[in-house]
Amino acid sequence: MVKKAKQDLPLHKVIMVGSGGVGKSALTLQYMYGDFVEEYDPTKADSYRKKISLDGQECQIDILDTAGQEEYAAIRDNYYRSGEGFLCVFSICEYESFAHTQDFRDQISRVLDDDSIPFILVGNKADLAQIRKVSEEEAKNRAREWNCSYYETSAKTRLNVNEVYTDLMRKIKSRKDANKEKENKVRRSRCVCL
Amino acid sequence: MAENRQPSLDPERQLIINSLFSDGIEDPTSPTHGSGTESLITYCKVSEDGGGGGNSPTADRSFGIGKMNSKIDVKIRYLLVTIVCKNGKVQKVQLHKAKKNPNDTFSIGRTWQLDQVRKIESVDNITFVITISKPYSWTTDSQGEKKVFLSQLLKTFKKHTKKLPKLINFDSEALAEIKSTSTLIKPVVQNDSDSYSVAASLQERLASANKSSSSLKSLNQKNGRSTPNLSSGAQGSETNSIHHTEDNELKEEELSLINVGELLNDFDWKGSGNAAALEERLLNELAALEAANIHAIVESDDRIHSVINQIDKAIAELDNMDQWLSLYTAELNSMGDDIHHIESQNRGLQVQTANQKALLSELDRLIKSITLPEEVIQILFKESMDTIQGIQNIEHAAEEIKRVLETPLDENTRQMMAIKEKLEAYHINCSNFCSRFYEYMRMMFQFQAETLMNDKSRGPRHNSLTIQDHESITENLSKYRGLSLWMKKMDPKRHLEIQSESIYKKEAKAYLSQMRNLMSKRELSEEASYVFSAALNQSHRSSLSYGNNWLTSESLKQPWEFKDGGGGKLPPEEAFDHCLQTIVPLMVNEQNFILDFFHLEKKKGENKKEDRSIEDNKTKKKLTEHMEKFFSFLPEELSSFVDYGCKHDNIQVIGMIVSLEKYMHANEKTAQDYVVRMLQQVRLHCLSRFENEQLKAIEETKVTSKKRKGIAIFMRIFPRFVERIEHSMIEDEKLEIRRIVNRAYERIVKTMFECVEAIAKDADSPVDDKEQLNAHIMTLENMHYFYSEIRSRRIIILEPFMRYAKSSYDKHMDAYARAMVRRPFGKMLEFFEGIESLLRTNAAPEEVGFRIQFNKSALKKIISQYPGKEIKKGLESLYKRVEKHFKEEEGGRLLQVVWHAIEEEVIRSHERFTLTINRCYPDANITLEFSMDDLLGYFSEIARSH
Repeated sequence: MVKKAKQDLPLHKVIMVGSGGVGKSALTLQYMYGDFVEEYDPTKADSYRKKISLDGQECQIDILDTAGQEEYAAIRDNYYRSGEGFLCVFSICEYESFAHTQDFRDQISRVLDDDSIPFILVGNKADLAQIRKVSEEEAKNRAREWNCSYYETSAKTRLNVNEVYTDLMRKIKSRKDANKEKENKVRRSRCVCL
Repeated sequence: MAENRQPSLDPERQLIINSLFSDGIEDPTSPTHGSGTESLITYCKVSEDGGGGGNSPTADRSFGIGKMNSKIDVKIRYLLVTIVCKNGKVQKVQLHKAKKNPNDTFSIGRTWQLDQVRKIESVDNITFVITISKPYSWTTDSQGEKKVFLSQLLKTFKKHTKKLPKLINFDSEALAEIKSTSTLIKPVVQNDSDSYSVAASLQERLASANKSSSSLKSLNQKNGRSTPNLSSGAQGSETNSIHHTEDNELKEEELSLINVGELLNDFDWKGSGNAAALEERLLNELAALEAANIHAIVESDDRIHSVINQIDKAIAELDNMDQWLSLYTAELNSMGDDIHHIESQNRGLQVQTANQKALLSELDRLIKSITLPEEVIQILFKESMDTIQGIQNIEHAAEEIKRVLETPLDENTRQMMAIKEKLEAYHINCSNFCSRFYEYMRMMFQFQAETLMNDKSRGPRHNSLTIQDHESITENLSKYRGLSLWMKKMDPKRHLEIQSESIYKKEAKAYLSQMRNLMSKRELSEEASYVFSAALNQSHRSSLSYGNNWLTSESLKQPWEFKDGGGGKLPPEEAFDHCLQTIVPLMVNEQNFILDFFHLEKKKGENKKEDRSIEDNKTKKKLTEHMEKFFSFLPEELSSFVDYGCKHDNIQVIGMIVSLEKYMHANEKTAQDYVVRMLQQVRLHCLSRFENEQLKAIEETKVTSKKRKGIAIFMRIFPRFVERIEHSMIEDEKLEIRRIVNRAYERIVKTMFECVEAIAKDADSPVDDKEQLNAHIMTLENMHYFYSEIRSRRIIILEPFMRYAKSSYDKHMDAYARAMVRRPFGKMLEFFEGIESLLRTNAAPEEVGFRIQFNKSALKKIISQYPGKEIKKGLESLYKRVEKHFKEEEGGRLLQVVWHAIEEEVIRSHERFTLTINRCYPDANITLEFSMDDLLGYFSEIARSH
């Protein structure tokens, strides 16, 4: 009973992708614990889980924080398989990281074989706007191209941190709901068929 | 020239004047006998050489002295010409010879009267001889000085003496100058306003007028004036002019001698006779004559005898009278003493009388003040203490007796027997009354307590679980407040205190038993209520597995479940809260009552502020003592209650702690020290008990847990435990409890880690691969859980443990990945590890191929054993195993992370193999049968297929 009750809580699996050092872990930690870690310690892989209230409904968010500087992109495939929503992070101070977002996007599309997966483009380090290398316009254009949202965040000042996760979870949830309905329909239609 | 020598321009002159002729100071060395002022006319520095003037006509006379002087070297001397004035008249003019002392003062060696100077002879340009009684030869430093001095001297002569001394060898010019000046003297002198000058000029004129008169007359005149002034040094010399008068004097003498001669003839004295013999004879004659004369007078009168007799008689009479008088005096003296004695006695008597009167009145007053009417005592002994009227009477009487006992008496009065006795009697009365009061109070307390308890025992109510307060007792007892106060005031230190102490004790006992009674009753009822709820819980437990979580690890407990509780039932924590709710106010009331009843509390404003703090401390201590007596059993009781309550459900203790803290907070503000302290004590007990329980449970888990998989139950519980405790700690950051809790955390966490590791390792099967893997899995899971849970709770004290958990997690993750990779690549790994260890022992990479076990064919054989297909299969089964290992873990969230680690490990291995082949078999042209791309493809496939 207990178990069941617990498992009843909807779980949304979010995956952080992006080049090394763009602040995936920083964003995650800021969102999870509300603190900002100054030092950089390259992540291997970490998973976090938190119970939150999304639009009045209790649910759990599971964040898989992946390593940015993987030598072989292919080993990420299995991550992506389990993902329900993606935060694709780049640093607005590093153009290369912005360029790489294309690779990540492509890989995800390939692995999941699904273009409509909830996906948000995130330009992090907005607090360092004075050394910005990627213009907001360019990033927005790419987001439009991919048909996804674009946020500029700062893990340091917590700018848009909650917003970006909440937005993604809403997307995941609405997609799940839609799928469920579809399933139901299918089932119902099947029933009818039977 | 002389006039040019201004005193101020001549320092030497000034020195002389300062030293010898300062105003008003009479020169003691001066031969002047009368007082008068001496002033310097001129001076001259000379060198004296007595034998220098050998060609002087007077050299013969002064030869002896001159010779003597010649032995001495030339001496520097000062010749001073001075004038002595008295009352404006010139007394004399003197010539001094002075010498200069080293300290610039001058002392006069000799003094002559100027008119003793007989002759002045100028010898050469700088030497001159002045003859006074003998010739003195002096030499000046320069011609000018000599000239100036001599001219001054001559002027003085002219001015003040009637005659000039004989001047020898003076050139005509000098003389002329003197003459001319002498003619000028008159107008000069007249211009001069000095009185002595005027007098001098008058005398001069007089002298010149007398020059024509007879020399005798002038001599007499002169002698009459000058004789008193003659100095002894000058007496030896006589002037020539005096010799002229001697003839006259002899004539007069001769005339008188003729008469004497005739007279002497009667004494047969011849002019040539012996004068001494004559004198003797004359004296003898005179004595004889006198004796005869007296004799004749005495002999001639007979009455003398009678007169003498009479005188003797009178003397005898007088002696007699004297004796009598002394007798009387003695008598009178003794009488006087007696009278004094009597007088003093009289005074003493008066004082005594006054004292006695005062004493009498004092005693009267004393007796009045310390005597009490018999009925007062009677009231103390007989009056009933049951009625309010009686108590009032007693209070009144007690007040009286207290007043008497407290009458301010000084030490001496206190020593008085009567007073002592009286006071003692009163004291005895007092103490008797006190003991009576005490007895009565004891009975009263007992009675009250019994009544109360009887009352209670009549109706143990199940529904209302309150202890009825002791209002009735307090009300009843408050009647005696006055008397209690009286007792306290009467003798706060000694036996009364002891008595009242024992009253407290009695009361305490009464209360204590009563409280115990109530407590046990309370406990019973609590128990009932708890048992009831526990029973309900029991039924719940089967379904909810509630309350049993600590000992069994079978189910997962939801984090928020404890809030649901037993659903409307009375869980122990609430029961405990109720219990405190009833007991704490009771204690507060009790403390207030004690304060009130025993008057420990000073009324505000009654005392001055400064001594209040001291009083307060004393009072506090006393109060604490009393409270201790009443409630010392309470902490124990409460603790045992806590133990009892927690027997079935440990988590309840936290709720109890919360309740305790709630009451502590409430009472901290109202100076209920004892209550607060007691609660702290209980809380400490709770915590340590809880901590121990926790530890025990954790240890037990270690023993009971057979399954080395999944997250240990205590690991799951700990975060919630921490959360719960922190929740109730919010306001206590600075309190002692913080430290206690922190220590508890530390102990628990340490135990937890130890347990996890102990369970994981489980020494029974260390070599078993599977066991090892399980150990890794378990530690990994637990540490990850701990880390993420605690991290999200931000508890600073647990930071080190967090770090430890993290590193342990990393370590085991690594170990796990390695172990897992060994499965599909076992032999290949062994082969390459062999090569690597060989390389480590200094073997050159080229040599590797020559070893039998590592030669090319061996390599080929190994590689052929691992074709890509085989690898793919191996990896797939590996993934299944990993999935199996971590599937149970909630949501499989670690699975991705772990699988990722394994992927990395596989890739690392592949890299290692490739590297080693390239190094050791560079020319063999052998590669692994699966490429990196193959591997990545397999991974992707696995990812897609799951």
